[in-house]
Formats: sequence, structure tokens, C-alpha cells
Amino acid sequence: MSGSTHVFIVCSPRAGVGKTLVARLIAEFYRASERSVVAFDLEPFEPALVEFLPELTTRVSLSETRGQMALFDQLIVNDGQTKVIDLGHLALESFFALAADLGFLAEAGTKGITALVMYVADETTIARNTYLALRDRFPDLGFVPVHNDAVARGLELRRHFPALASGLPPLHIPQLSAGLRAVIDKRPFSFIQAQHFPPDRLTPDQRDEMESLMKRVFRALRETEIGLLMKNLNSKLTDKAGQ
Amino acid sequence: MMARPAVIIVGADKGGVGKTTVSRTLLDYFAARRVPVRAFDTETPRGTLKRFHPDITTLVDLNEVPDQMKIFDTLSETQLTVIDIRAGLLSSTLRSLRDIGFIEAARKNQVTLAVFHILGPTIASLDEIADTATFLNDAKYFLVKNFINNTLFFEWDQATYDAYFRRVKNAVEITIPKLNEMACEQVELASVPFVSFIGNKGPLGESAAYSFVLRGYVRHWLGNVWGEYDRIKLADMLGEAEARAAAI
Repeated sequence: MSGSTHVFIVCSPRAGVGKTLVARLIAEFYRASERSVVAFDLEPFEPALVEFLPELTTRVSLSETRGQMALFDQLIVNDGQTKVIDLGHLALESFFALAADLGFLAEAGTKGITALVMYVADETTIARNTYLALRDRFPDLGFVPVHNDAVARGLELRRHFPALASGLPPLHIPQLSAGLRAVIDKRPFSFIQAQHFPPDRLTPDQRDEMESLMKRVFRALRETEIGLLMKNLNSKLTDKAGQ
Repeated sequence: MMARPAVIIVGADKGGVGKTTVSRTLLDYFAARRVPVRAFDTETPRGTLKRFHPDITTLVDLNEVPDQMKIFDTLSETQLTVIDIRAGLLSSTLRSLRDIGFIEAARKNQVTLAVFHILGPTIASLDEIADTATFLNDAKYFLVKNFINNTLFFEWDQATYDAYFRRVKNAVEITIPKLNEMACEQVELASVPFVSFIGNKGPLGESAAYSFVLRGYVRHWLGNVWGEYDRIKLADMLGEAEARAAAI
């Protein structure tokens, strides 16, 4: 039996909070360590991830059975290939409703697939309520709050999006300069590729900023991965002790 | 009280209303509850029900006396009998049951008889209710609205339906919800019981490679259908048979 396969569900009930950036960074983190990763773009009207990382992203519509199969039939395979979902805010409800109806988490659990919700936090009531509602609805699902400085910051915010008892730390995305944003928002764009072959328009300062962003986010993702490993290990030990 | 053999008749006077689908959900329902069950398929020589549940299904021709004997002379208290009646033969089957004294036996509580009458989309199918109901004063009579493969199923309006429904004393309504079309097709192709499809198993119990999404749809749908059977307390009604099965 192979190890655990990870599924990252990047989401928020709000548009424009940086979901796609988070999904891009997660996908690139796995690419950077030369591990197999695929991504799904679930933005119904404005596909973005598929334009940034076309070679590893599939665009999927949940309004059709074929689209649902293209997504969930892949998510449920433990093939060691990390899956990243850029869940557009309009697709959030249909995604989680389907996951519940299909019994996704139960089947994922039996197959050694770990799903993790990367929830981009902001100060709106809908973001807070949706976070708490999702956690109530899926008590076995892991949640990692994502704090994007470009959207909101502050201790108050962190209090409203508590990390789970499992101890997975929140992911922090620093505020980026307008110049760097302009470069990395041009599609397609790969951080890994830009690191090896910096585009001409990237100034040395921006390059440093980009390097520090990647370093910081990748380090946090490594911690998340270790946290998941420990969690799986602990639950295996508990299972053994129970036998 | 003496134990009673139980018979469920599934029928419709029109074809293509998903009658066999309902029989299949019933066979799965009782299998999941470990109630021993045998089935008779009257769609000779083809046998849709037999295709899905070959181990427990026998093909019979209800017009033939030897086949009637095969069913009704072998009823037992330990095994439930489900009979899938070919389209158009519901009324005549009930007439035969009356003639052989079976309906009388149900009236005297010697046997339990339940009839699942699958309704079709036309007003004509409502006329059948009145037609069949005359036989069934002492049987459990279920009117099944089957939405499984058609969203535009019921052309007639609710008021008309209610007027018919009221004519039948003690009739109980059951709704079979719609099942996703692709999921429906895939189960047909797989030719396995719904429960096997959900469990990703082939006809011989070998592991299969059905779509997780389609399996999820079927699981969710079957849960709703069984919820209807729980609601009408189907297992309790045939409780004697079940209690005996548990005692064995």
C-alpha cells in the first residue's frame, strides 16, 4: 500500500481573496520538490488557475455529471499524486454538497487519502460563518486557515479562524508589492520557472521578494505536511493500540 | 399468532414505468436486512429482474398453472416472496390470486400480501388504481410514484390524482426519487444489484471499477428509497418473516 495522497481544497465564499494564488503556490511547492501534482480549476466563469499553470490544471464544471466525474473520480484514487483544487466561491456550496452526498470523506479515509481545506480568511461575516459551518458539517476534515495580508490582517481575524486541535499552523501570505504582483499575475506564470529563468521584467528587488515569498510559503507547507504525517502516524498507532 | 408467509407483488398496467427498478430496490432492501427472499420474474423469456439478481430469481409464466403452483404452493414462513409482474398483467394477476383463494387467505391473516402498484405518467394509469383496488381491500396497497428516470413523469395534476387516491381505502403513497441519468445507465450496463454497484463489485463479487461519483449518486438515491420503505414500516409489516429469519 502506498502512502497517503493529499488533496488540498483551496476555498472561500468570497471572490478576490487570493484563492488562486494560494492554489498556485501549493501546486508549485510540490513541483519544486519534483513530486507529482495535478490541479483542478473550479471557477465557473473566470478560470484562472488553468491559465497560470495550464500543463497541470484541468478545468472542471460541477454542474454536469461528467465534470463531477472528472473531479471526484480522480480525487478518490490513492496514486501518490497530490491534488490541488482552486474552488471558486460560486462552486463552494455545490462542491461540499456533492462531497457529502457522495460520501467522499468516508471513501477517502478508507483509501488513505487525506483532504485538507485551505480556507482563505477575511473579516466578512459570511467568511466567518461559512468556516464554522463547514467545520460543523465535516468534523473529520482538516482545516488550515490562510491569512493573506493583502486581504486582511490582525489578531482579531486569527481569533475568528481558529486552527484545529490537530495543530496544523495557519498559512500566511505576506503583502506583495504592486510591481511583483504585476509580474506574477501575468498568465501563464510559474514561480519555479521564474526562479530558474527570471523573466526580463522582474527587477532584482522583485526577484528577492518573490524568493522570500516562496521560501516562506514552502516552509509553512512543509510544516503542514509534517503535521499531516504526524496526525496519520498517531491515528495509525491508536488503531494498533486498539486492536 | 401463527407465522405467516409474505408475498410482495410489484406491478403496473403499463410498461416502461420502472417497475423492475422498484423490485430491485426491494430485493436489495431485504438482503441488507438479512431477510431471506426469493423473486419471480414474469417477463419470460427475457427476464430483466433475473439479469440483475440471477441467484434468487426464477422466471415464470403466470398464465400457466404449473408456474402458479411453483410460486404459491411453495410459500414459506422463512422466506419472503417478491413477484415482478409483467406490464399489463397486474389486474389479471390479482384476479387469479382471488380465484385461487389467495386474497381470501390474506383477509384471514394466513398470508401477508403487499402490492406495489407503480403508476405511469398518463391519466389512464390512474384508472388502474380503481380497477386493482377492488381486489385489495385486505392487502397492503402501495401506490408508487416512480420518478427514477423522468423528470416530466406526471402529466396529470395533483387534484385529479388526489381524487383517485381517495377512492382507495388504506392505500399508501411511496415516492421513488429521480436517479442521475448516467448513474442509471451505468448500473444497467453493469447488470448488478444496486448494492453491488455501490460497493464497487461485479456480478461475481469481484472488484470492479465503477465511477466513484456514480456510485455515490446510487448510494444517495438508494438511501432515499430505503428511507421511504422505512417510513411505511415495510420490514415491520412483514415482521413475522423477519423475526423467523433472525431466530434461525
